[in-house]
Amino acid sequence: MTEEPKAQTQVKWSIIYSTVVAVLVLEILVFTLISFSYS
Amino acid sequence: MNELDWIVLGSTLAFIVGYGTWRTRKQRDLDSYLRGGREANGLTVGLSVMATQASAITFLSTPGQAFESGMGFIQFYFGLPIALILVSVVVVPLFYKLNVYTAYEYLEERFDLNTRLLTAFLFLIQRGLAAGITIYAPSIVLSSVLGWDLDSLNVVIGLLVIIYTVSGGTKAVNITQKWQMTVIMGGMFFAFFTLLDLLSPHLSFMEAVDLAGAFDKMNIVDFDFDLQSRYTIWSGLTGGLFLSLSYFGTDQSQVQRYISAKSIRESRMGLMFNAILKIPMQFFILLTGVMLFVFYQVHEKPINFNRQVIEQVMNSNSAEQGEKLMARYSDFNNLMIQGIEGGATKEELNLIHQDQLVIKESFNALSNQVAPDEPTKDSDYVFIRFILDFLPNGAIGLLLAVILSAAMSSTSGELNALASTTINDYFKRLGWMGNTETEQVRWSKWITVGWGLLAIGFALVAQLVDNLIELVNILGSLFYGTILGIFVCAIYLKSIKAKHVFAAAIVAELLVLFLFATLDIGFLLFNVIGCLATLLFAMIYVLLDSGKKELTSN
Repeated sequence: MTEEPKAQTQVKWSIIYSTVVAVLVLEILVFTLISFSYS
Repeated sequence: MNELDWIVLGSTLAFIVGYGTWRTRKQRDLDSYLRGGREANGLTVGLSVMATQASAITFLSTPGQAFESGMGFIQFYFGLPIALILVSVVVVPLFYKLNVYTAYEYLEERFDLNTRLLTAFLFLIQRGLAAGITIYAPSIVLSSVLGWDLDSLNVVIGLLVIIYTVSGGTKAVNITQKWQMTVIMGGMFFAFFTLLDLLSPHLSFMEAVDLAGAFDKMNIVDFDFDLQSRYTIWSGLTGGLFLSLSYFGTDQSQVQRYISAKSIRESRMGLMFNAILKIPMQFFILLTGVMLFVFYQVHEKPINFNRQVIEQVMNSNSAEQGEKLMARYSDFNNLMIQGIEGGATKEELNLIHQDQLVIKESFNALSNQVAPDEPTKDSDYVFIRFILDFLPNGAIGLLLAVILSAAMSSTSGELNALASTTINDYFKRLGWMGNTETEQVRWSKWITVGWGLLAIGFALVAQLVDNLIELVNILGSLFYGTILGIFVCAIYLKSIKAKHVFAAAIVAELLVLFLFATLDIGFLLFNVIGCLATLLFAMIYVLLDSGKKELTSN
């Protein structure tokens, strides 16, 4: 009974952390593109 | 400033201070006072973490920094989201499991009392100095621009913060920071869109960005491996990561914010709120600075944004020379406006800009001859000058409320954390005060008053020291690495014992101070060096110790 919610919580937090990393990568990518387009 | 500005400024500040004091007036036990009774939700924690980090100088200096050097400062924050994920995964559950009031309490559980007291002491020195600067930095700019008395402003900001921080403790800090962030972001958006509106007769937003790009202000990411460059993608991802890990994982002013959440989940939500929004927020503030730069290319700009510098030259024997330089600067201003409107090339515009910089430097050199003590660097004055010269009445009051709110929000977080550490890691732990809850809350309030008065006192004498703001930032980087190293040893390296980490921390700190005195490298890197040196020395000591034991047993 307690295992399933714990596993679900872990999956949910893994998705949140992956999203944060993906947003960071995307931001760096966009900033790099902007930098190159004005250099 | 007119009456309307004073009404907006006064009522905004009175509302925040009054509301925070009234809502939290009944704090009777130490848990409510130091951890807000652990009732905060994720949004409150998120805004509180953000408000503690964002001081007034963030909103005064950051646009000025972008005005001068472009958007590159954003790289400083690239390590922050990763650090917040690590804190959320590793540190938050640990602090909740041990039910700690301060980060340093954990170090006694893991090592011994000496390690706890040493780390808490390093925090108190560093944060105690920083609290004074958080009050002083906006006061010096506002007093210079508005003609307000510097000492009175230091005392007023300090006292306002003391009122609600002493009265309501952590809960008051959290509640007021939520409102302060609302005022801050509302005011910043208003300033940004007013700026775009004022630019619109000359340039569209995209044309303004293109123009900023022509002056190299849109070079956001720098892949250069030069160790002396302060902001590159590499220093941001490494130094920025270590600095953020130390700041969010081991600095009580931040730890206190997220351990006041009602659950691990809410605490993590607050941290992820910052992991997602911090870079866009800083990008927006820097973009405001870049738009200010463009604005002042199509409008007359002063030769120095700090009017005191101009006045000093004009009231001296060098007034005639100063006037000539100002006239030449103005000619180049007109040339720049004509060049932009006439479609001059990027190279032509940059030549005009370079000539202007040379004239400005000559003027600043003149000012240095006349008044060697008056700093001529004017980037901190760019944004406030724009606010006072171009925003409508009422909005000026709102933006001044933004700056003072930011000063108050970070100072209150700092005083609250300084008091918690003093009470919890020294007074309570060493039995220097009574055991009843009422007595402990009373002690906590007096200690908060004490730190508040000390911060005001430090702000009052801060003007005696040159380049204090930079000095405090560098001081932070000199200590943070070692503190982080102690925590990494505690969490990950189980073979390291108290005596190893204590000696390693002291040797690592001495090494950092030695390298700081002898090497010319970006200060962010000292966070990495301090942390790695603590780990390395502790591991070497463990190896030596185990070798000695083997020899003894043989």
